[in-house]
Amino acid sequence: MSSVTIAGVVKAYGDRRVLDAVDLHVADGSITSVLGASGCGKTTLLRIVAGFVRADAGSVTLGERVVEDGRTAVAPDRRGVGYVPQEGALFPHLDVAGNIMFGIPRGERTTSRLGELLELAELPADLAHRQPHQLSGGQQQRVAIARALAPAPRVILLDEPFSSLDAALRISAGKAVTRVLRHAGATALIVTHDQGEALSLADQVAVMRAGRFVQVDSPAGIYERPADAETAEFVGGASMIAAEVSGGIARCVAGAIPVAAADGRVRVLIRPEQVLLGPAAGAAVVGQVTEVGFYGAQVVVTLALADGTPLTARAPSARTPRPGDEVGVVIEGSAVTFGDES
Amino acid sequence: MTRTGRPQLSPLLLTGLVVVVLALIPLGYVVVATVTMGPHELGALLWRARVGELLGNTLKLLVGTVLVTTVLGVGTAVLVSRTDLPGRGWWHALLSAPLAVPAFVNSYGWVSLTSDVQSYLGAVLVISLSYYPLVYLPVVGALATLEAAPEEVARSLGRSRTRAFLTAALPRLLPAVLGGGLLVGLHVLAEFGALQLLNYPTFTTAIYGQYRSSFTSNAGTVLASVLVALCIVLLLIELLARGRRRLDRVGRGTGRRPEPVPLGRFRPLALLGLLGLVALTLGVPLYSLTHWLVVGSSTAFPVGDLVGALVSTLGLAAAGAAVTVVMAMPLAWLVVRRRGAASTVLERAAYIANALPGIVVALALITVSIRVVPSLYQTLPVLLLAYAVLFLPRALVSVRSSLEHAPVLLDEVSRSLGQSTWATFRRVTLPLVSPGVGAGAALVFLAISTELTATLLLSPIGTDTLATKFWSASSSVQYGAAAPYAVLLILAALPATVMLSRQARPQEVSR
Repeated sequence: MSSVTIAGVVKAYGDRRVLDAVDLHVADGSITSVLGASGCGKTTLLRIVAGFVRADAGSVTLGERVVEDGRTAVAPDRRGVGYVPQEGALFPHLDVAGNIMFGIPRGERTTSRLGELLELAELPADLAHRQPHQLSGGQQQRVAIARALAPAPRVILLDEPFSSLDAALRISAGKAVTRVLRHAGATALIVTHDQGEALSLADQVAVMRAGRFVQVDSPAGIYERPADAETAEFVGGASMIAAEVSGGIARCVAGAIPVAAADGRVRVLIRPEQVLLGPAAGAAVVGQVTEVGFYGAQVVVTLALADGTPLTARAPSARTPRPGDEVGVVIEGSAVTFGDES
Repeated sequence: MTRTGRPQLSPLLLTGLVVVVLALIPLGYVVVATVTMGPHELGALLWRARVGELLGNTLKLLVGTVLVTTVLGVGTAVLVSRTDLPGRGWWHALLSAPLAVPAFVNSYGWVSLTSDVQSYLGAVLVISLSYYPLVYLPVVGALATLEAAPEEVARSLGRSRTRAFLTAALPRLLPAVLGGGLLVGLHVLAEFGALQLLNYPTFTTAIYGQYRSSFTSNAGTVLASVLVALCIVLLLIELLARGRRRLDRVGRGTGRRPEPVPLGRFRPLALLGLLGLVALTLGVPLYSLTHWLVVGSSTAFPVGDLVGALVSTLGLAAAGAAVTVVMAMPLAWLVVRRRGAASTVLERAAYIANALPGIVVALALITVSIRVVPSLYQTLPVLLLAYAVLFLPRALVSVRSSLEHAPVLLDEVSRSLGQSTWATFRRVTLPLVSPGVGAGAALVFLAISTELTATLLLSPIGTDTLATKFWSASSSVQYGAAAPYAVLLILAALPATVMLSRQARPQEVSR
């Protein structure tokens, strides 16, 4: 496999700039997810790398080979780019074996190669002669990945690979697919709008908004040190509270929280899992429960602090407070700050 | 490095353009010939008592048959779809069956029994009995998708069952009724064989007479241009109706179907009415055929002639179907894969060609071939082109819907797996579209095998088909000799009828 380098890629449809000078490097054998809301340009970027769409400017390099430089471009069938579209898009007229072996030259379509690919994709061997419509959604997805990996591509592109699967299947299918990709040593680019998917599957996450990357970092980096407030809210639950910093401590209606910021007015980012709830009696900070969302093992509790500021907490459901209850609040750990908007 | 992305579309667009130009030759000929005639001659040929008489005859027949077919079609569709009529599945099959008897065979059945039908009322009766399924089938289809809720709401608001149907259901059936009625109109305008046998002069029979007496003449061309104008007016109305029908189907298939209405004491009356209708539509032609086969004095079984006509019919139909489907391919590809103004215009143009009666297409191709390439006159290529012009829209509908089942996404996956454009077409697109293309070819094949008018005028000398053999026997009053060909024609039309009847099946058919 090879690395992928995208440099200064621009794409406009009419007056609308879908991609606005985008740069990204995916290291050889690593997985990068491109995370963004629908319409942010992430699918267009994927289609430019695959060669289905031409860039207006900028270049795409796979390993040492320039495949697109704004003037000329290599045809999609000569790029060696594996492509797994939404819903897998298996060829409906071919069985599983026919799909997987589709990209392999005729002479090399051996039973042993098929067996290897089925095993790689964690598919039972007796599935080889099923028709696509006889497979479950997760199985179709893995056949599509085996099909893309079969001709040994330089890089594999996955476009919203799990969006058609139901919630229960998504997590297990995601894990299985990453296992397959890692086992194959693949360089992969996964486009998704689901932050859970992006953070859990990839080595590197590139957050895209309005045709630009706002942050490219490790999953933990994105979650713990988001580049701006919007990214912070996009990758997880967040409460933003106005605070006054002095000497590395932010003081606000939720209490005193250690921060790494210069003195002045800021907003602090508090993640729901940082908020510990306790008895109201004797607590320094007290809030009133306004709403409780029950999710089985966990509850999400929304509080109104003294001045009415909302704060979201995630807690084990064993001690679920009720709306109207007074609870004590402690913020655990340090927090990230953003400039004051008001 | 090579240039990439979508293959350049100009060769494809060019191919589509060639197809449409070929399909528009007849229309173009009529327009050009009429315009270049000069106002004086045109006026003289147009303002004649003969033209007025033909126009009166044609319009009278048009209005009469559209009215009768609408009443028959809607009435039987409601009976079969919405009541507790016993044996509704069987009635549906029997009511669709007249489509399998070509109109000129049906007329032969009537005329050979009684000359009383050679009148205006006789023509309305016989033509309506042949064409009412064109109203019946779409109305059955529309009734099958109609939900019960609006009618039930109307009942709860105090309307009687009949009033609820009239106010809450009928308006939603209107596009189907209108579409069916206008289709009948187009068929009546194009009908030649049946009207000739019924001795009822209209534009088609007059054009044919003109052609027989003076080959190609300006008088014939003027008649053709009036006929084409009538067809285009009907076609425009039909296109509008079709547009509305699509809207009407939004959100179908979710609601519950209405309960069947008990016929009660009207049941014997309904059964008797249907039985009478079937006796007229199927009983008369079948009785007449049997009569001429068994007792007709001129009945002979010239096995050699029968086999010869059958073989040349099958051969022509196969070749014509192949040519038509090959011509439909680039157009369908443009419409599905290269959406845009140019594609839409090309597709619409191909549909307009569908409104032209066979007689006009044949006349135009004869004249154009004599003037442009005389060596092609009365040869196979011109006949096949006529078939392609006449039946291109049927092929287009099938090929188009099959291409819609082969999304571009699969092509892209194939390209990313290292397959070239051609390999992708061969390994992905072709296998996916071939069933639909095959169905389209079958429809055209069946339509050609019972085609009379264009074949009569264009077939190379010495080439006889079932239809032309039947025609030469029945028009020279050798009814017995015509009978075996009529039987084979009905057998040839049967598969397409079964197909259409299955597509529009009444809901909850009780067998």
